[in-house]
Amino acid sequence: MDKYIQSPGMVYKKRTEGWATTYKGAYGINAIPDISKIQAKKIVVWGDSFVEAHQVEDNEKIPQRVTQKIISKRANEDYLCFGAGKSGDSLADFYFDIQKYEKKIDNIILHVILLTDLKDSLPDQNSDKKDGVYQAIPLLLKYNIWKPKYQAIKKRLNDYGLYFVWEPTKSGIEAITQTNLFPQFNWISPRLKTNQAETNTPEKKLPDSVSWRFLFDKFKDISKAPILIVYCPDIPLLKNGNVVLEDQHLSQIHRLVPILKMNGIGFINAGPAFISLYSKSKKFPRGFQNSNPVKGHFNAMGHEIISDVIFQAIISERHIP
Amino acid sequence: MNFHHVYFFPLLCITIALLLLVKSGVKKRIIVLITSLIFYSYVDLVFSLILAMSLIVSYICSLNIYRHENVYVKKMALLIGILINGISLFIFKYLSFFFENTSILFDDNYSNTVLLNIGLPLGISFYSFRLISYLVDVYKRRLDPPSVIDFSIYGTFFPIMVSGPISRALRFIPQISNITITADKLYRGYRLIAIGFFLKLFIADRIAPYVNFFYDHNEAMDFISAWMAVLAYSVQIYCDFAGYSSTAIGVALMMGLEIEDNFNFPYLAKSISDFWRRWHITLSEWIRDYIYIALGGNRGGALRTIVNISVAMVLCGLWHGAAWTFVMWGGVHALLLIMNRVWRETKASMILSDQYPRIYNVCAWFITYLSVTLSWVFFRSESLKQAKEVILQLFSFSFNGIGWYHPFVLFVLIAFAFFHLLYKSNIRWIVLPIDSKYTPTILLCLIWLSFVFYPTEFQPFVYEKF
Repeated sequence: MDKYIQSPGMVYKKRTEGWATTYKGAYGINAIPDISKIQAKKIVVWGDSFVEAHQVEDNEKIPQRVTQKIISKRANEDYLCFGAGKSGDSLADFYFDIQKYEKKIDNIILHVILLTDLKDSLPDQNSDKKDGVYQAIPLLLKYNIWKPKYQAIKKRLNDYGLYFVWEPTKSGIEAITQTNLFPQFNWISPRLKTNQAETNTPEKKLPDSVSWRFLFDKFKDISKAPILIVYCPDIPLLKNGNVVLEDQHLSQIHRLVPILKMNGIGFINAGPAFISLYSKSKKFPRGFQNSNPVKGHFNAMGHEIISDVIFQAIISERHIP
Repeated sequence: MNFHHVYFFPLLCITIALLLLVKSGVKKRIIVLITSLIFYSYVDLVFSLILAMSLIVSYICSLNIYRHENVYVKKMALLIGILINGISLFIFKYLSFFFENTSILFDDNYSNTVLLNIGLPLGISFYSFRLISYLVDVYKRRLDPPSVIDFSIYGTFFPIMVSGPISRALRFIPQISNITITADKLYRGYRLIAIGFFLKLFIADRIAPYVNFFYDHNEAMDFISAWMAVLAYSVQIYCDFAGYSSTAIGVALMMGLEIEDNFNFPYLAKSISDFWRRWHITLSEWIRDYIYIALGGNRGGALRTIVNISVAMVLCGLWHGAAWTFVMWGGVHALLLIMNRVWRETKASMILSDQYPRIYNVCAWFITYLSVTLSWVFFRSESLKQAKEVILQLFSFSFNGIGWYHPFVLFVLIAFAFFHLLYKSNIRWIVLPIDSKYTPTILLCLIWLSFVFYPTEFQPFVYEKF
């Protein structure tokens, strides 16, 4: 596939945010050993770490829940929903990955893209963990294989059964490389060096709508299957002790939706579903007891809400009869 | 520079290596002095000049106190030395607070805009107190002024520079002439450093985000989360500060110098006065000797004693920070000390402690711990308003709001209580005795845990701000 994906058979145990075990199959897809061998009609949910969802068990993740809902409604038909994409991915990555995956996996009838941050649809992102590079000036989408760092060191440690020393070693390396070693002749303490990638990210110079028109014009030709974007705003939000229910990006969404429509891309806003969850039960769709109770990745409830939103959209727009 | 900075340990290792190689006492002192100066000037080269000024003035004053026979000259020299250190501390730490509060009185908008962002010289609260105690000790003839080098080492000694302990010149300076590093000291120092790192990195810094989250959003949290956060903060501040002190004492020991202990299981105290004999011992002794006793102590009758206690504890609170919350915290402790003093003299307390010693001790411990923990709410809150909100929330018994019962915080609270129970039951292995065979292994595990679980959000030492 000419991209970095986790090896099939890898097991991820997440314990610091949520508590779950994720099993990787072929093509970096969770919980399905080899998707290419399954003949069912397939719905792909694209996303970053929010879809990779190492924080919840495999059967609680969005794609698996969508599959369960479809089965309960269409028990005698073969549909399968699976998740694709890795932590850090953005729409530029999905532009290339949709095309790659369609060559390997047949019978894809719908692509659902989870958009949890509008920045993921804009150019000039930090290129760490990204294969797709989306630059603003000039507007350009290009492919650039991302490789995780320190693979050789990690493999060597693993070969000698010393993988457990990796985390403190990495902390030590980062402490040394990120600390300014020279005295600062000023009034304040030496600052740590900021992440170079972040400081080098140029300011966005183009209006959002120009970038979106370019990007989604490209998207409309990449697949015969329809594309549906599910926008998951960061609400409800806890700010200074108060729960905020208004999405501060609504004005941008109002500019985005017509552009998507123009290019034949569906759009669903999951924000009202999140607000409804909070209003009824005072619960948050994100957060875990062992990390932060209100923010971070989606918890089981968040996955349920979004899977329901996707399922309702699939039914109402007749992506499945 | 601080203990957690990556270049600290190479500096320490080089210093110890040089101290081992060099035989001459003078050269050893020079090495210690240069290391201390590098440590301090690395952080703030310009503020090193402020430190230098304090040292020069204090030393000259001490020489005048020592050499002159005239009592008036001695007193003037003492006063000048104390004033210079006091004024320096006031300007850098309290001037903004002073302007903010006086502008409210005089409705002077200009005062609000005075640019007072001149920063806080590292460790100024600690070295000012060390220098003042030095001057008083010279005045009272407990100590003769040492050589310039020895005095400079005392004033700049880097392990205790940032957050204490507030080492007394009487105990520290005599050691300087005979700096000896032995295998025993190296091991004991390493033990203290390992324990300090564990307390700071594994415990304090990992529960800090929980406490910070609560205090950022306290109105939205339920009352159980409020209790958890308040209890967690009592653990956090103890582990943070005791961790720092342990590391500082360990580093000094590895360099051949003994520093006073600063903590002695304060949360096992059975009265508030007992608490202050166990918490930040060097500060409480300083406050007792140079403020409380200087004001007359308990020698002027009950009312005078109450006033002296109040002044001493309010100043203690103010020393911690230029904010009304710290003043209030000091005031709360003054009140607790006064109430404890009154209670101890009642017949009821004598009867209960004689007839029901176990129950009495348990109740005494519980009331002390609860009072101290609730007083920490003032210490941690951003404002008196927030402190009031938090305290009311603790007794609201309301489950409305976000319930965050972080498993690691719960584990720490339970383990912390269990650890103290084991210690109280005389199970001494829990404190890693030096002569025990399993101690080296456990120390390695503590260091391992500290670095494997190195917190992603590193928290500055709480007392570094003071």
